[in-house]
Amino acid sequence: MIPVAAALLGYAVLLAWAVPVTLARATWPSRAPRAAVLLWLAASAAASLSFAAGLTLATLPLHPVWRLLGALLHSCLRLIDAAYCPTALPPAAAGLALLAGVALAARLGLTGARRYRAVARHRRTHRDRLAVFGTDPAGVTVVPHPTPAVYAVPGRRPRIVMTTAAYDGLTIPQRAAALSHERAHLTGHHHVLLGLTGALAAALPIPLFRATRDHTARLIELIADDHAVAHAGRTALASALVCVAAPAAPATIALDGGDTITRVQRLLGPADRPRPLTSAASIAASAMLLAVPALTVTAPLLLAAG
Amino acid sequence: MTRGLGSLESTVMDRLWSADHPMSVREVHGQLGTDTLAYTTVMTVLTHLYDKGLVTREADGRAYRYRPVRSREAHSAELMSEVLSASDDPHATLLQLVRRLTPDQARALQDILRVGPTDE
Repeated sequence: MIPVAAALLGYAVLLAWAVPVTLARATWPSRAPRAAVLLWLAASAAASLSFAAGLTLATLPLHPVWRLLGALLHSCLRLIDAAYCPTALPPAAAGLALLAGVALAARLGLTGARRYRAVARHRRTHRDRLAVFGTDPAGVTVVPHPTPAVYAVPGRRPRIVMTTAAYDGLTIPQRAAALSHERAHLTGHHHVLLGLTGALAAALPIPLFRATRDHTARLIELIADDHAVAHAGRTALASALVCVAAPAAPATIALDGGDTITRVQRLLGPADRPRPLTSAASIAASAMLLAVPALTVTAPLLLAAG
Repeated sequence: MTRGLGSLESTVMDRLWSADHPMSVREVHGQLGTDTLAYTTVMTVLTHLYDKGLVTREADGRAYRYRPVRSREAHSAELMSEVLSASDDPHATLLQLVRRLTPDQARALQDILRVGPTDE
């Protein structure tokens, strides 16, 4: 009989391999970007939780260590221990599992803290330099510059910025669409999602976490696009994107705009019918992915209580 | 307290950029309106701008005369250079509306737009 710890670890590895392979190739995410982001995050969370739970269960033979954690956990752990304790596992392996768990948690925590400090400092410096430019009546900071650009600086005192080239080059509906897109990022706190997925991928660059970071970044643009379409219309946003994405005079300033073409095509193509079934299925899948480690660990407690 | 002075920074910088000589606090204060703004407020704003490295100052008797470190164009060019740079933004410091197209991609997009939307 396979110990439950190994099963949970196996589940985590399976998710880490299978989810990026299948979900990255799917076409439905651009029709239901919110539900898709949830599924990516749920898969990453389920893999992380399962791995952590598997490691924790593997450390159960180290009774003295767990006794130190306090009497509060004692009764819960006793029930889980009685149900799952892999007595066949030598204490050395259990100790290794404990070390691995602590190391992973520390890596995640330290990477997250370092990245947060760096990005907060960078944003503060950028905001300070923006402060010397005035804002228009809508609160948009206008920077004199010949290259069109529109962006937002998220954080505690967010700013939406437009260069004069973008401000003057866009019509009023196009400007409204661009602003609505940026505001959607700010009100949705998308920078938090980007920070979390980025830190996870930087700390533990397995395919699942890297794919979650990349696809979340792509999908939040679609979420913001949908928001802008609701406020300003598909044509206004599509033409705003094309205008702002135009190649700049020095040919060296060119990121890869592959995603841009996809977004414009999505806006100009037939309007997607709302697909509540797709969203519901994705949300259900997210819940099920997370339920595996959650129910496995709490089953002894639930059974004892029930 | 920096709160509430944000918009004043842009007004003060605007004065310094428009001027052709370094300005004292009294001069800037005079131009902005002595009845609406306190002298000490203007002095605080200029000090903040100095601390941020946006203006430099030279002593003129007992007072300071302030001038911008960079022209308005140079300042915005430096600001936008990191926004427009080809290197990716791995920490997602800023949220750009759209990624810039390479010339080849722009041509490809024009072709797509010429064909027209796939649905009427």
